[in-house]
Amino acid sequence: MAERAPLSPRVRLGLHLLGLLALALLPPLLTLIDEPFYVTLATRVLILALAAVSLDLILGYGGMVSFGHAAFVGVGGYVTGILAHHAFMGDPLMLFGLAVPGMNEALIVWPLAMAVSAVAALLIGVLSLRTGGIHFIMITLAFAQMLYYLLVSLQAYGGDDGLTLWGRNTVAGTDLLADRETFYYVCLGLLAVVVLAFRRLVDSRFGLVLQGARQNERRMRALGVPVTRYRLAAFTLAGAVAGLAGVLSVNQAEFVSPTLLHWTHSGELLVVVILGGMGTLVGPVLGAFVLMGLEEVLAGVTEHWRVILGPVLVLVVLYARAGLHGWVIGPRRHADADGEGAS
Amino acid sequence: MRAPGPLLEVEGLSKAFGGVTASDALSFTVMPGEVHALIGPNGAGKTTAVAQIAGELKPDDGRIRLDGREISHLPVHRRALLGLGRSFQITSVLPDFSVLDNVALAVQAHAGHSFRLIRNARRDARLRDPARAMLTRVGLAAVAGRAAGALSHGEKRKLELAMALAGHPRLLLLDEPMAGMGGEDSARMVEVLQGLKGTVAMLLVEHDMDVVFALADRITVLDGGRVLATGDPEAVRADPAVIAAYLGEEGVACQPC
Ligand SMILES: Nc1ncnc2c1ncn2[C@@H]1O[C@H](COP(=O)(O)OP(=O)(O)OP(=O)(O)O)[C@@H](O)[C@H]1O
Ligand SMILES: [Mg+2]
Repeated sequence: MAERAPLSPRVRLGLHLLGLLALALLPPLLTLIDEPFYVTLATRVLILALAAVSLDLILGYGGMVSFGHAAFVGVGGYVTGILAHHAFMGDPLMLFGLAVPGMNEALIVWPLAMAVSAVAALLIGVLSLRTGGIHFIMITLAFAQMLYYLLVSLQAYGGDDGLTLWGRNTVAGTDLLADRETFYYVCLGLLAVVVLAFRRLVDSRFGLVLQGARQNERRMRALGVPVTRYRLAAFTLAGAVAGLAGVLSVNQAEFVSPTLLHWTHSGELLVVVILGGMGTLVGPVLGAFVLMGLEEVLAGVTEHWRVILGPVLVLVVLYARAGLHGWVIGPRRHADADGEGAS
Repeated sequence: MRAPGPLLEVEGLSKAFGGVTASDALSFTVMPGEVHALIGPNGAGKTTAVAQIAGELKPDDGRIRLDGREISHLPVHRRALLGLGRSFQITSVLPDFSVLDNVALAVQAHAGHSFRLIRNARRDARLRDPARAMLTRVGLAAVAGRAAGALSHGEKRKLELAMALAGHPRLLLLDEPMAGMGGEDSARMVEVLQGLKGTVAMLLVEHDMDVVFALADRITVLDGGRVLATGDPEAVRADPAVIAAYLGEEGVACQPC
């Protein structure tokens, strides 16, 4: 493809905000055209996007090709599901001799689920980040599948069949999230906060180290940077945000099962990031909408929609190297003296 | 106070790759402020020696001390923070970042940890100003905004030097810093190194004997992983073993050997 002149950072920011505005106007528009069901679908897309954005931090900026990111989504989801289950049954959860009461309160459950996902990511990260390249891909996949089979074998929590919840989490005791549109806006708000926070993060000292290590790990070490430490921190943070996506997903479906952690879900997250554009943060949001949209459309046309989707992805990887995001709004401008940087 | 001893002491360094002995009980020192040239034919073990000093390769045996402190067991980044600056035989920059970003990251690496998550590091004058000054010093100020990957080979070499210098190293490990450079660029690089002489010690691997004799205070000649001779340029030039094994073929002031 011909090289395009990069847009100024201001214009790019404007386009991104326009996209946010469109998402904010989506529910009333869908109600207007009498298709409120699509609000639910759009909510699922936003949740997928949140998980993909967290993967983009480590994949697009950190160069860590994790094939097990769904594990952290699943951990967040199961913390929500298990606590809700115990709240419903009225018996506490016994953990290492500690009695944890069941809970449905989002203000406690959500941060807790993120923390547990972060710990899971920290542990898996410590073990995986000793390796690189194809080994890293395989070992993250292996850990995720281990967790998957662990949950399948947990009969107390439904095993293979998973757990059905008796409603969404409460917020400060209210059932705010039960409303379809409110829940959509909660998801949109959290996604926007995460994307904005990550944008700052990737331009910070921490973010530059992370990107530097992706480009040339050897050089970064020779400069005096303990590369692994920064990668682990990013991996843990991405795990926590993936956990939040799991929380939302379980609240949305009012159901949790090991499928959430299955390797196909990890693969789907990779596809969303690559399709949308690695290292762009906004790209994965676009990727999530296009992938789910294509699935929706193609599944209506033929049951062999995967056969069509596959080649579409190959074309994107071949011809739109920066993903759909790069194709739509062009490359990011290379750094000049003090301007926005290249990436 | 301690008497001013050597800045770098390499003692009995040994490293074998399978059957090839790349370092064979190497011992030499670099004094503070000294330019110490490490020369020898292709495959003599120069890069292997540098890699062990920098910490990328683990020696089979031997000790490395920096300013009297044993550093043999420290990882690469710890040695860098203790004052080892490095340029690689094969250029090694951060290709997607701008030239200025590259040097600013080098400044940042020596400015304490980088767990700073919010402030835009590209607008941080504490990083950008010293980086810009360093680019001026090596003659890259005009291309500060370009992607490092798009630089010419000679420019990348200068960028590597700027990155190494940005950390205010005590010892520069320069593995053929002029390799593949044109005559003009190469002369400019020699000038820059000459300007640095006395302010920072250098271990300079170089094939061009004119450059070596122009810069070096002392020379160590390697062959087959062993030290053949070490001493001031005049002594090394006159050493019969060196003449026989290395310099002899093309005369004393040979062009790239
Ligand atoms: N990673 C490695 N694995 C196996 N053998 C190696 C390795 N690195 C170096 N060698 C061998 O060790 C010896 C010394 O290599 P080294 O690169 O240190 O030489 P050099 O003096 O830097 O040569 P040059 O002037 O060509 O750069 C050579 O015989 C080389 O083939
Ligand atoms: Mg070499």
